[in-house]
Amino acid sequence: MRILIFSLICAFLAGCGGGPEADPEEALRAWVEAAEAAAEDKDRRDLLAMISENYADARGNDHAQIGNMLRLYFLRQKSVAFLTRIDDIVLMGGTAAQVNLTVAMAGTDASALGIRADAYSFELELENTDDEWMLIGARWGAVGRKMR
Amino acid sequence: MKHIEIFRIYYLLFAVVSLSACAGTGTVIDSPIVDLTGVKLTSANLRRQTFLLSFDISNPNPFPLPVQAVEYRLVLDDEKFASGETQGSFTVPARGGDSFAISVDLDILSSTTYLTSLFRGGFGENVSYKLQGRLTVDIPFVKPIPFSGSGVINMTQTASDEFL
Repeated sequence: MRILIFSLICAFLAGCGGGPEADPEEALRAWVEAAEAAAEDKDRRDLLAMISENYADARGNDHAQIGNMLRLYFLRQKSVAFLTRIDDIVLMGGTAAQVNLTVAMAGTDASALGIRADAYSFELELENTDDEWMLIGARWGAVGRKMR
Repeated sequence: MKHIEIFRIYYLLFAVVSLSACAGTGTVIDSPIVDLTGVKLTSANLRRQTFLLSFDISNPNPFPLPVQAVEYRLVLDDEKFASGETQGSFTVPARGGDSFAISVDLDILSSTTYLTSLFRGGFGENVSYKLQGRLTVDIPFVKPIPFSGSGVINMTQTASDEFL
């Protein structure tokens, strides 16, 4: 009887939670929204948790260096809003993806903070490990300029 | 979907209004300290003199500054000596320092300024300098960071003895 109940519970759980995997594109959109929210909320720890320990980019940044760079955005005393537009999501075999974003910073005091309101293009490389998307690389540049 | 867009617009408007209402704060980035450490004549003829300007830079910020370009204006003894913009690719570590050099081609001998007589005289004096400029850094959304500095530089110690 116990085995039967246990089996039923397992079947129920499999049917509810574990069933069909979430749409990867939706998961990536959710990832971008979570990153945007963490940046706006100045939640550096949350944001860093979304970046792989193996992160590397063409500028020579690794996980620690990107973390240091992010400090800049979290030192500000005022909050700013990011206007993010997902331009393109390219899935590669379900475990890798490239997300192209345009990000602008909104805020009338941006200039006083030493921040410019230009829009930037980002090309994010993500990898799915243990059902979690992690940033493993990125290229960026001001809109209309060369990304690297 | 339209609902979300409207919400976003309201959210942004709210953010903008909130920002403009807040009390004043400083900039996010503190200006780096840039000191002129050397003015060295590397080659010279009557029409053109090439100088190597050496600088020390220290970054008071808790994050590194990857410098992409340096815009500068250097005044020696109250006379404009050199100005321009040069591309660079170096990173000043967080709360650390580095040094960089800029090569400039000038034609100061064609003018009849105090500087000309100073250089013709063989760099025998301490010269006061004023330095102003901006660093373009390779960090998204960060405006060029201004810097300024002043001091005295001993031309005798730094300039080439082969001058003319």
